[in-house]
Amino acid sequence: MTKIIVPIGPQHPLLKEPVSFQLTVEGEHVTESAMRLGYVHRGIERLCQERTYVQNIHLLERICGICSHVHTTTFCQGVEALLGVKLPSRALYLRALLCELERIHSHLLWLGVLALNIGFDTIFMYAWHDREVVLDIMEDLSGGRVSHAVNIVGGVRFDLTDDRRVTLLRQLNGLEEQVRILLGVVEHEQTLQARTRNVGRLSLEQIRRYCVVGPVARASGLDVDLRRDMPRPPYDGLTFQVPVRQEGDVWARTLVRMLETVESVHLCRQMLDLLPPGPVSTRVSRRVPAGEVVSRTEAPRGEVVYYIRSDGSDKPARVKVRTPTLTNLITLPSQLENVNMADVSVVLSGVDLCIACADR
Amino acid sequence: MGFSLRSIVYLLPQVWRVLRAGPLTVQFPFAPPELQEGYRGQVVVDAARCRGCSLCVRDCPAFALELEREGREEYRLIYHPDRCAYCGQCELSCQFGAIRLSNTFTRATADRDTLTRVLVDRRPSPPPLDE
Amino acid sequence: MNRLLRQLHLFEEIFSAFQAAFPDDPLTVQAMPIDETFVTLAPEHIHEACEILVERFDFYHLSTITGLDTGAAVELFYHFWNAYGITLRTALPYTALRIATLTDFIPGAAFYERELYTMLGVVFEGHVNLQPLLQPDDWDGSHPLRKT
Repeated sequence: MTKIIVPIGPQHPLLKEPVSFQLTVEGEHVTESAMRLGYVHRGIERLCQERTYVQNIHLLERICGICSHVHTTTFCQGVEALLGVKLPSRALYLRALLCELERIHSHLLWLGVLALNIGFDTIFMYAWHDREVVLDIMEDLSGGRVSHAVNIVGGVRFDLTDDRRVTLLRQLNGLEEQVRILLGVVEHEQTLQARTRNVGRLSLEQIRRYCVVGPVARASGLDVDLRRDMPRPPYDGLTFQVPVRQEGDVWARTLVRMLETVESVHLCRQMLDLLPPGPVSTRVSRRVPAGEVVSRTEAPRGEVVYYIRSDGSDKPARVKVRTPTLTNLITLPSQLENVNMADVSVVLSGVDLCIACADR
Repeated sequence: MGFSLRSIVYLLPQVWRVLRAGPLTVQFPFAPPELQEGYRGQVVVDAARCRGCSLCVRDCPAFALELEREGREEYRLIYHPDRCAYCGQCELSCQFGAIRLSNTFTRATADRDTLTRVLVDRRPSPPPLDE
Repeated sequence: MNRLLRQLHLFEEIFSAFQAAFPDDPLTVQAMPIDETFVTLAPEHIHEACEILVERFDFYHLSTITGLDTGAAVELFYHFWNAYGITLRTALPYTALRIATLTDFIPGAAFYERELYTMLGVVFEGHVNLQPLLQPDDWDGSHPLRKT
């Protein structure tokens, strides 16, 4: 049979961000695939060495437009470890609260993108409608819908009044109701299952060998979550489930993400209930003592790793960023093998691509 | 068949909810945008409080603030909204509470130079108009 | 507290396994903040040390490989994770910027090694597809993170 090479990207209506795939297609099936990254490489790691720690927080926030807060959290956590400061626990709670809100926002956005790619526009609209609730909450708390700019080295920049806490709890109740409806759709809807079951399957062995992280790993049976496995305050004092599925296909990933969203709403509620009183930040010095640190957190897409080295000045000597998408991208060639051409979009959206993250 | 019926029943109340909610969009720029109180918009300065210490200029990650110093007490603080990332770092860095972010928008423009504003002008005498 | 004890115990075992495998390597161990341990090794031992970590101690997850130009040498950090973090670090002199690839038993290392190849010019011997990862097609061969 003749082989046809189908280029997807760097500019393509299917993709939200520029990345290039070259799919070799025989008949209707993909036999080979090649990928090219780097179209949104901004050299952020190099730029970090030129800017002060204060400026870097805002620069690193712009690595990703969806999980911006978790990047600054990871960076601040590392710098605070270098400084040896202990954060007031209210700051840690507020920081984690925004992390969980961001996880809800990211997973709902992703569900919408998946639904759009399989032609299920109703769910796309509903998921993004509910996501708007989270965005409004985050905008109200931080002053920005996407770039929150709330993290500073030594704490956070916003505080919650008691009144706001009560209204927030009420908003979260409404949100949980909506998320449960979407969860019901994922569990029971036949068209969604027909499009996502048995597509893009990854075995547990592949997941481990490719060092995959996050919901993609958990959907293939790898029980890993840094919030639980490397407990740091406030997560060590909260109870939550880590949803794990064994199927390893796009449907399992969808279900894992929706179950996680419900867990995140629970976590938000617990944090609001347990929110300790006190200050939200401590004063720290602008110069960071020489040293190096590896900081890891669980972003919506999986583990984020920062390596920070300080030489004692007010600028870092090296900041290395490893985003979860980079690990998940490497599985795409094996996922795309023998996939029907019509399912390529499902596979691509299944791993939750964030090319800006991967390229940095 | 049972399953697909179930999914329809699941979503019916949603249709009602969305219909009842009505339009959610705002006719910006023909109607004022609905902005939260803490929204980070245009940078404004209380010129009386500014001492020209340039802490905001040092910390600005987008190089949107510029201090033109002519003497110890003579300076101009210039703001370039086209570069501004609206992060609010200047508000945090200011020791005198002079600078803050208001919740107003910067309108789009075709010429970025027209956006530049002088926030604080402490030069001894304003330059003549015919220059 | 239990977790800390388990961590200490595990790392003692790993350290003695390394010492048995590389008797002539002056190993150093550093405890770092946020549950991380750094082990310094000679570059020629990195591949075997990673194999010991993965096969014997089940540190299956290679988080990333960090490269860093100190001005005197290029340092590499192999960050592994399994409930605790362990980082193997090594320094390559400018005259011999080559090291054995890990892709033969950790295929997930492919992207990290390709990135370091372009960013710092480290050649990973045995890598099947050592192409630029993030650089444009007309990349001139210069290494953005190098100091010289």
